Amino acid sequence: MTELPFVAASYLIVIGGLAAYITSIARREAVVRRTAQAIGRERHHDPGVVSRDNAATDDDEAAEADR
Amino acid sequence: MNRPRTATFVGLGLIVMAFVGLIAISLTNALVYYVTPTELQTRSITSSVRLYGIVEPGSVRWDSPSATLTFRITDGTTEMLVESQSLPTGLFRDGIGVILDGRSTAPGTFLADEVLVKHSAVYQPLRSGETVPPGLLDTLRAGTP
Amino acid sequence: MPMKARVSTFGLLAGTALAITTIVGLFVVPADAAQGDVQRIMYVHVPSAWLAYLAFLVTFVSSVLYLWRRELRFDRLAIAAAEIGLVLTGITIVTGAIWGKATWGKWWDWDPRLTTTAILFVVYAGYLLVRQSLGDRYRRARLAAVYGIVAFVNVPIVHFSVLWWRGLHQAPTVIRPGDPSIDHTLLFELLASLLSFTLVFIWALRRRTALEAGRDAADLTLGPGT
Repeated sequence: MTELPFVAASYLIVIGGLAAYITSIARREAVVRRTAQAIGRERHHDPGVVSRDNAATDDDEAAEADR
Repeated sequence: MNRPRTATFVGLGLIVMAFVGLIAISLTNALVYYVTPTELQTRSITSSVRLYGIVEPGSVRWDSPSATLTFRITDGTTEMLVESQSLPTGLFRDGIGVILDGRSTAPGTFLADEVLVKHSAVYQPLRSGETVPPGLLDTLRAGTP
Repeated sequence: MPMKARVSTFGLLAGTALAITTIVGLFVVPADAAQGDVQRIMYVHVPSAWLAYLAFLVTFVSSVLYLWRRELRFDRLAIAAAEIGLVLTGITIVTGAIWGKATWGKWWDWDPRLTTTAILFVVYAGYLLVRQSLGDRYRRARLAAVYGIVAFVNVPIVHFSVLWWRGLHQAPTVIRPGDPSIDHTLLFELLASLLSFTLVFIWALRRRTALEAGRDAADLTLGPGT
């Protein structure tokens, strides 16, 4: 069966590609976690004080701050 | 505020241009992606071209000394004799669609530099105990010493 | 690598489903009578392509919602889906090339389906680049939303390319009028594989969106001068 390497390569690429992508998400999550912890120490309060929902609906003030 | 705005518009402009350009290229390429034997004959194209046709059952021959594959293709109206030294994949068989890259050397004959096999988009499972039959080309090559 | 393994129940479920359909696709369902084993590539190639379509649809819808509601959570969903869609488009192209080499006899060809898929990939890679080039969080969201809406035009072009123009790639087998031209055992495995890919997609989308939310929270807390 000469086509078996083709099948194996395809499936390895799918599994490997998904695994690499998930690893990349995990790595970026770790960076965000460290940043949040650093902010927490600096401000003497809990990290993530701006909750998801606040961040989502925040107005121009936050936009300016980000700039 | 001005600097990022300019950069953004330049960037977006470039991407839009690339996008439109690629679409245009794909459209023009696609329109002439292949011709049929009838179109090839009526337009008498002699330049390098892509040709699509169905392999006529029973027409495939393999010449061992010259390592040349010959077969006839048809679009239902016009037949054409194809000669190629480039070998197609195992899916090549009687009645399958092929896309040939090459040129017409004489009326009714086509010299192919490349034989691509188009898939029929029909899928049937092997029944238990069955194996995939050997490729037509392999059978022909095995048959000629 | 300092990485906490945080595997949710849903993630576990999606991973198990993918493992099962992969094993079934490779070892349980019979091979195709014409192509042989190489046809098994279909069970990963086709779901990748369909879910890339779905991902870009999510980006399209959430871009519309962002422009309407101006809430960053829609923008975060848009970027998450676009990135996953890009990964899936990449997987589609590579698995397709491998199948093409075995079946057509060529890794790549400027066929309409392949060309439009390459354009799709470039356009969404551009989406990520444009986002990176914009510093202001709200301008980034606004312009990305416009881009995410316009770019979606590609998806129907890719899907119908095999019907609109002559090419090497075969016409649709399943998403077409009438009965799919695939045996129902093979079709069942294709749909099962689609289901497990969908679960993995939903899981990745949730996690990637949460990552973006974490970033926004950190950035907006840091405030001016950062």
